[in-house]
Amino acid sequence: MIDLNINLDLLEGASSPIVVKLADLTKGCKKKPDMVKVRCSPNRSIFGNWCSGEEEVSIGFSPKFNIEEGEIWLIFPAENKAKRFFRPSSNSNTLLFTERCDQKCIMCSQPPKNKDYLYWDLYFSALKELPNKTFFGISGGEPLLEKEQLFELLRKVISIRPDLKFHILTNAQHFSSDDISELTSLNKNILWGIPLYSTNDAIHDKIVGKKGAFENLLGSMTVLYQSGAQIELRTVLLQQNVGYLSHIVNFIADKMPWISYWALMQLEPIGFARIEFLEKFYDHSQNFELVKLALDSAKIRGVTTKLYNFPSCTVNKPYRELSNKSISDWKNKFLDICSGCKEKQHCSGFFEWYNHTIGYQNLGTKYL
Amino acid sequence: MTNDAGNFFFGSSEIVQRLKENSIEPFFERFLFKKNFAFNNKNSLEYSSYAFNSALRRLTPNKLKYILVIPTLRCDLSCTYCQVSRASIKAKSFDWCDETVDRFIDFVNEYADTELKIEFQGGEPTLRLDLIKKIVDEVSKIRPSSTFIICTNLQNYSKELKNILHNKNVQISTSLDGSKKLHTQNRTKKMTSTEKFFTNLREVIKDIGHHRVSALPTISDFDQIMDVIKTYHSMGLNEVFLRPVNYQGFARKKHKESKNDVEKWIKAYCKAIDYIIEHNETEDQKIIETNLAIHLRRIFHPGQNGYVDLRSPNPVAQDYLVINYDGSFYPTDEARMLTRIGLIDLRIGSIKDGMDLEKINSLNQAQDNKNDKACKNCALQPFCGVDIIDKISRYQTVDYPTEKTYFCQFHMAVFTKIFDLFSKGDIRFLKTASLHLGGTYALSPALAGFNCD
Ligand code: SF4
Ligand code: SF4
Repeated sequence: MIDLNINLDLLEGASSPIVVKLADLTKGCKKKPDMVKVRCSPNRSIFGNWCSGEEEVSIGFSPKFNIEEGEIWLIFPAENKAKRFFRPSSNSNTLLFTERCDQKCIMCSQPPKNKDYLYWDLYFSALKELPNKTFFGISGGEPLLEKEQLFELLRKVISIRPDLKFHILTNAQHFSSDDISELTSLNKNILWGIPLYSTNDAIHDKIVGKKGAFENLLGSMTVLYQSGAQIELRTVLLQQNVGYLSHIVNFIADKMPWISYWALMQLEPIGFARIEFLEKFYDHSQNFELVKLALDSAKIRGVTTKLYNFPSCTVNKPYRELSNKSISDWKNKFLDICSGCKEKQHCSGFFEWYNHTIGYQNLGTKYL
Repeated sequence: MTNDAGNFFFGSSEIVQRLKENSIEPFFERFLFKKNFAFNNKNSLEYSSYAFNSALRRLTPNKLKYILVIPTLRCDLSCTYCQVSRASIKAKSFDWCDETVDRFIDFVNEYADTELKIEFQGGEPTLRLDLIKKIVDEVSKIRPSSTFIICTNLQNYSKELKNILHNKNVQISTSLDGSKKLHTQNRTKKMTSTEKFFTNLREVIKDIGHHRVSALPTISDFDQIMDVIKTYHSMGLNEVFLRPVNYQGFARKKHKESKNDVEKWIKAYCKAIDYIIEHNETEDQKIIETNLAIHLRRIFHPGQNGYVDLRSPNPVAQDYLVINYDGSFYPTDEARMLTRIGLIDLRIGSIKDGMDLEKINSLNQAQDNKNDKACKNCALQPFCGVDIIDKISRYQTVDYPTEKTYFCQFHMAVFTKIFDLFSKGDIRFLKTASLHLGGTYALSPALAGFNCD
């Protein structure tokens, strides 16, 4: 969800939050609703029409404004605010309803805050409007801190929209065996993204800043297995765990062969990751050996693997097919050296906040 | 020591004793937990992993993934051990008719998986490139990620064949028995034909690349096995599938197999593996041996159940099917030949009349090593397989004791060799094993920690 920098000037005196789905009026709109004027700053106007109440609301827009047909916005008239909930062309539409978390990972890209946005009815209305088969993210903070409400939302949405699939990022600290039956009914529509940073409990606990986290995590994994969950197990590459990557692979093959895949992720240089960055960031472009050892182990043990946020030219060729375009479009950039690179369309590129002076040493087409 | 999930470790007989007496020290107990041989309760990762892999090892695909098609039984060569009892090149009504092709496309549409592989066998399938082209074109429309393998003797590398190979999903498989002399002796009979074959093989490799060309030897003289490997290496073929001649069809009547032959083959094969291990240590261009790769995958990749020659249960006509030149269905190529020589009728339906479910069910009851007297007590059971058609073919009865079969003896020998090398921690073998499992030629922490001591 992204805050939209527009001023709303609603002609009708609406006060409770509403969901709007943008429709291109130039293509003709069948409904004959009341007019509403939404003014965006600076100096640009979009005109829309809407029907109030629970049902469908739509806004028309001027094609000059950089928005797409089918975008879904949440509008908070009282605060004169709007958030973009969904954008059809985006590769990462994500709902964030709490910024609280019970862990404090040393590389957290979105450090926890004591803030919630708990508009469950609104989210339900918005999710209902998603296009067929949308893969929709839920992240945080830790979304499972609102477990009851979240499960209820998912239950309601999935029952009327079984085509939707959710990618939920959770630290897996909050599942218990009481959740098994509920999870079993939801799990077909969910891919859980769960972080595991080491097979050594002390190291994992230290990285996530919570004592007992590792043990909790493993307990949750049993619950998730028993409820037929699909799991993306995520490991952020750090100097603190680079020596343990092969252990993680073997641990997965030994203890959790049923997960969907393992994602090895390069560090996102923002949030806590920026603090003592040089003590955390592991520049695999200078030394690929330990990563290679882990990727080989994964092949040998039959663990499906994906690399996230690894620019193609930093990955040894035989392993390049494992890398993904993993960075959300709105924070994805490429560098000057990338111009004319043939790999660009498959390459993850960089985070918007990537700082090359303290980034990868060996970069560019000559390493392809 | 193995379990149903395929977890394993090596220990001394003393350790077995301790297990029997239940006198397990903390260190040993931790080891058993690590290997999923022990768990606290069913709500544990140990038990979950054990249960999952045990089930996965017995799971077979339930849609057709591999269809072996015989568009014609005619052939322009007559190899000494011809497996198919071929028809002569001019013979009539040994080809698929147009109606069969149309029915086949409908059949694929209805029953085949999205990841479908079609292998064209013969006879010499390239005598009917028109049929192959039509099948490739039509199937690609309805199953776009299908791949095709044309098994040819490569006596002709025609323009039409080249045209079909423009499609990157089409691969070539051919027979290469070893040196030119050997190949002439076994197959072509004339040196000129052999020369032609070698020229064509080189050309096709040049045109479409090594990764789309595979060659298979049939080894009749076990002393020549090293020459076979060397020939493959010199042709730049990195993968070799060492298989002994398997007299089938009419040839089986002529060549009675003796117990001696099995032992001789196992010895030759093991020697060849030692040679490959040595070769890989010293040469840059590494060799992969297909049998070894299959056995290693059966150990380390639970769920690798697509190989019908080594899996259990091994249900027929579920994910793999042979369709003969006359449109009839067989569970395997061997079954087709057994039927042709009149030993037993293993036809299980046809493209016109559909599957004979009754017959398929009765065959499938025996296609499971869970119920076999010998396999029940064998530590290799989770990795091994079952093949009653091979049993019938060699011993004419399904009741022949498994431990005396070629199947059992060969696979037991290969698995035993592999486990032996793992238990010794043979460094060069560990690197070759990594290579065969999809890794690089290097030591890997994934292939360690098997010994309990
Ligand atoms: S040069 Fe740029 S676009 Fe090309 S592979 Fe490297 S990071 Fe990616
Ligand atoms: S090696 Fe022989 S006894 Fe053991 S499982 Fe295989 S066929 Fe059965």
